[in-house]
Amino acid sequence: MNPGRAPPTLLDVSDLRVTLPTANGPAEALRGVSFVLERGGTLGLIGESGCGKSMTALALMGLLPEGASVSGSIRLDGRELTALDEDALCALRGDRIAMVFQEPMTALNPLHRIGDQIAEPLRQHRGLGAAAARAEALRLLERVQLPKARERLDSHPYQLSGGQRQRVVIAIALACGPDLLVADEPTTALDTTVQREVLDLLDELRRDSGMALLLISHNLDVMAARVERLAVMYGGSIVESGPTRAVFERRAHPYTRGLFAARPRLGSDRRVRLATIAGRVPALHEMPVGCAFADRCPLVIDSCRAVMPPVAAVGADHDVRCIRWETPL
Amino acid sequence: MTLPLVEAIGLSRHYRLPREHLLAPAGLVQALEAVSFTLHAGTTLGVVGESGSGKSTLARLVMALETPDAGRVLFEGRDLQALAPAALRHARRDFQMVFQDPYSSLDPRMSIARTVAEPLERLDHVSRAERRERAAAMLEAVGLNAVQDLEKVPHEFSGGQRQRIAIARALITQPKLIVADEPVSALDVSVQAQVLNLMQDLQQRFGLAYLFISHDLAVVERMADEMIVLQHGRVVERGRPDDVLRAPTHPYTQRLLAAVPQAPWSA
Repeated sequence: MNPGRAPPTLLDVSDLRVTLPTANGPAEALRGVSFVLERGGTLGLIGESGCGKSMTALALMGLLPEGASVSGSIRLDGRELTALDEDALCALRGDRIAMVFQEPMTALNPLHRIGDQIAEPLRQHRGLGAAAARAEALRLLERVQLPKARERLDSHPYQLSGGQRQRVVIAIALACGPDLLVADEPTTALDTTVQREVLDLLDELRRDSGMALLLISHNLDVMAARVERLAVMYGGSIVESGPTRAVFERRAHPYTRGLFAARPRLGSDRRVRLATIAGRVPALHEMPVGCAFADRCPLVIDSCRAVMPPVAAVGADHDVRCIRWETPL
Repeated sequence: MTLPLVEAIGLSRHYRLPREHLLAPAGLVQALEAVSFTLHAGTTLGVVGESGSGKSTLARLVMALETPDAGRVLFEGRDLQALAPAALRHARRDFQMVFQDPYSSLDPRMSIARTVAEPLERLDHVSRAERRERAAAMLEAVGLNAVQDLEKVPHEFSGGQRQRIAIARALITQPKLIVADEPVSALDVSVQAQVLNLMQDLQQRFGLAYLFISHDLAVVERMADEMIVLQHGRVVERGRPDDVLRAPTHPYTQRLLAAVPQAPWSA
């Protein structure tokens, strides 16, 4: 590594493991997640329900469910987050790291005016007075291109459409100029045309402010145009990661291939049935010691089940956790 | 020309908005405006549009859960609104509905056996034993395990399995039409593919017609024989998905199509 040329690392997650208490005893929800995000960079986490992508986001935010135990490391600008107490995390959340959730209606407080909700992090983290915070809230609403921003300061969430609400949530996230924005399915609840506007807005804001974006989605096509790097998650670990285009074109992991094949795509031949992935995601308490995808994988051999497959290099900066990745399906 | 299974003629429906001011008259929203379509037995009509386009209002009118302000829905030539309540209840066995969210559309306390067989309870001449037998057969038809799953409750199933249960429930009265309102939107990609394939298989096997409501153009292209595009309650474009999606003529359809995220590289 040449520190003079490489962009500085903002977020360094290394061998992150999260164990949750379940009715069937402790279960590992994250099984050694590692990735790096540069200052101003973009990374997509993709995968299906229960793969660990939201759990990763919650771990970054220090918002894991009660009883969760964490090992491994999360470093933001070199500072270890897993060791911080709640007060220190509170100081970071909304300030250095901000988060945008899927459902803008539940992320906003229905009883409070939009302006007050945007002002809250400014008063809390920046110590602004009421008037200054309100002025800044207006500036932020204009920045997220909310129509009639001045009037909206005194609106309540129910008076806004879904897309407008998500703009407000983004304005709150941006209030303190975070270094990292974690966006967990930010457009899944929105109409396609609105989805595109919100993703365009996030792109624009990120370029202007230099913040890094961790985008979580189950939609491959949303990822394609929005993130430089892509990490595919399955069963609590990253099974493939690399430059987005390389992952799209090479699809080294059998799960990545399955995921791509299952998408209905415009213009595809409707006489050809959609490919499916046999079986289902193993429950947390039944995670095997070896590859979590083994039971559904068409390429499985005995050694896949023995130990978790090590990381293999597919290409430049492109890794896969599979011992069979060179085998065509 | 055979009699269409469903014929919607000039359906209109408006809703009154909550009053904003004490003295001002309440506003009206025109949810559906003179919508007409024809759906033949064993075929699929795709309905595309965004929030507020009137898709779900259309579903409720076709299901005779609401009365149109103007227009009629003919099911096999009979006007559903003109039927007496008892006759309408009897007619309901022929059209059933599947909803978007398999987490909220099933009663969490009811066993799967009861959930699936419930639509039969209001029909005559179906004994308890027969209900259970038919529920088991339907679970098998949607790819679940009748022996193991009948006594379970919804939370013991994944989202995809729950949607299969909802489909089994819809099928148990041997309907001719299923109105599916965003049936795969809440499902993961790989599960979505399984449910879409299943719906196609069941269509073949039982000769079902689908009114298939979705915001996802690729899903509609795959499932539908004909499609309509709704905007602000009006049909702005209609035709075969191949034609509509390859060469959309209405600006709204063009905008919907342009907003579909697609990778810039072939993948």
